[in-house]
Amino acid sequence: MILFSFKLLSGKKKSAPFWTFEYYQTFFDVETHQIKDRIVGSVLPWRGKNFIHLYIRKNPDLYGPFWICATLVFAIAISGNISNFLVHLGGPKFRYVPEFRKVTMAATAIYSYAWLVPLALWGLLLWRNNKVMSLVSYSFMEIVCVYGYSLSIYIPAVVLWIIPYEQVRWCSIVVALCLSGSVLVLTFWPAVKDDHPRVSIAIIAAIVALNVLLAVGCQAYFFSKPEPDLQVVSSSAPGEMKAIPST
Amino acid sequence: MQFSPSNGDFTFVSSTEAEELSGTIDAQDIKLNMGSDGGKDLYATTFLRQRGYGWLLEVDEEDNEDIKPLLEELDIDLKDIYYKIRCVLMPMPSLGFNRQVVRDNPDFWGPLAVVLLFSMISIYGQFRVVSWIITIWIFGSLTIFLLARVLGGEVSYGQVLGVIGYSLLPLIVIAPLLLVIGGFDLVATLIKLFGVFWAAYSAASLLVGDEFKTKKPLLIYPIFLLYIYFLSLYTGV
Repeated sequence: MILFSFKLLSGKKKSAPFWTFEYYQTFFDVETHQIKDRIVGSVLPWRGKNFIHLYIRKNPDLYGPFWICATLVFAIAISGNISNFLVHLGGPKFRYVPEFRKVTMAATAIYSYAWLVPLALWGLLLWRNNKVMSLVSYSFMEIVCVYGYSLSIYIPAVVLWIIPYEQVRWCSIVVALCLSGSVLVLTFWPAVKDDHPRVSIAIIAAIVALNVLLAVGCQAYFFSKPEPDLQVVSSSAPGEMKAIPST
Repeated sequence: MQFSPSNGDFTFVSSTEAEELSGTIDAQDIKLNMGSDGGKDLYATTFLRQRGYGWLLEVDEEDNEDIKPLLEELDIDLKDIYYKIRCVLMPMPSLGFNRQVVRDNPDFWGPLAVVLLFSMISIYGQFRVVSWIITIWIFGSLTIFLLARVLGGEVSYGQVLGVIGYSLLPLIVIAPLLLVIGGFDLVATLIKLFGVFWAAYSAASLLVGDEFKTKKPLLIYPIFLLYIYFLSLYTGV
């Protein structure tokens, strides 16, 4: 008989109803140094040290993922605007207009990556757990934690993207991808390795691919390419700047 | 003319004590219309008085001493507001202000005045900014309130509204400096950072009571993000 447990939080008893503050207090039961440790642990992946086992087990928190995503949105918005400003500095007919519409797009993309992808992954793992007994199983909160903390490496990367040199940007994006990807892979490999090899490879590949998509998409959309001769034309849409490379 | 006594209106005292008691039923500043207005009225007044309804004829000409000054009526205590402003502008604990006052005794007009002042400064000729800033104030305070509650603190929404509103003061203080320097210079960025840190530290040190002192940095950080957003409204719009 296969044990099928639908626990949102492994091992925690929630006695308070969900409309009180006490229910949510269990998710924020962390201190400052714990948050710091978790962020550092997500940035420096170490073979053999599972992020969840080491840092999060029995005490996943919602503070980290939520505010790291918020910081990332802020960072992308500010850095995107600054880099646009710097790239077009001194150009003729340029008026600096901050684009707030892009901020909402950034927020949507990042929050859906940090919350919907864990939901899908959790569902997938649960389904596979049904078929194949695995030694390791993660709760939804823990998966959200891993994804949230793995985004923390992107914050310095995004700040570095202000510098309008292609090499710096590619370097930082590759480093960030490697670090966050490896944290994710190292965390989820024990959970899928008991499965059929093709399935486990597929799952791991999907995790990495989504990560890459997020990073490259953010960079391409929010940061204009620093091309040498640029003709700046203000379009009819308010608040939008289009850069047309001169032929 | 004798009013018929009833149990509810009069207390009966023994005659021995009655000599020390004195009093008058007539209120001095109540004028009774004694029928000087004419014949018809004279009949009506005497009729009413005979029935015991003389009180209907009383005209209250007493001067209303309950007219409070307007500020007191609106519950605006200027000294209190000034004290809280000094608490916010100088958040160092060594100065010995009673910081709990800002948290425990929230008023509404002080923070609203500060927020409006901030919006005036941010206007640059666009009035719709005022409503947006007030909206952000209310919703930002809601977020901070929920976060503080969930981290274990015991604050009420009114307190958070008040503290966040008052802590916009450092941003107002650095605004003239930014006007002078202007633009994206490094100095301007440093001044902005300093202003936001000052405001966030002030707000957090006012909000965080003893019950969750260890989690104070966890609360400072979202407040810091909120004030960065306020500052971007000021410079960006």
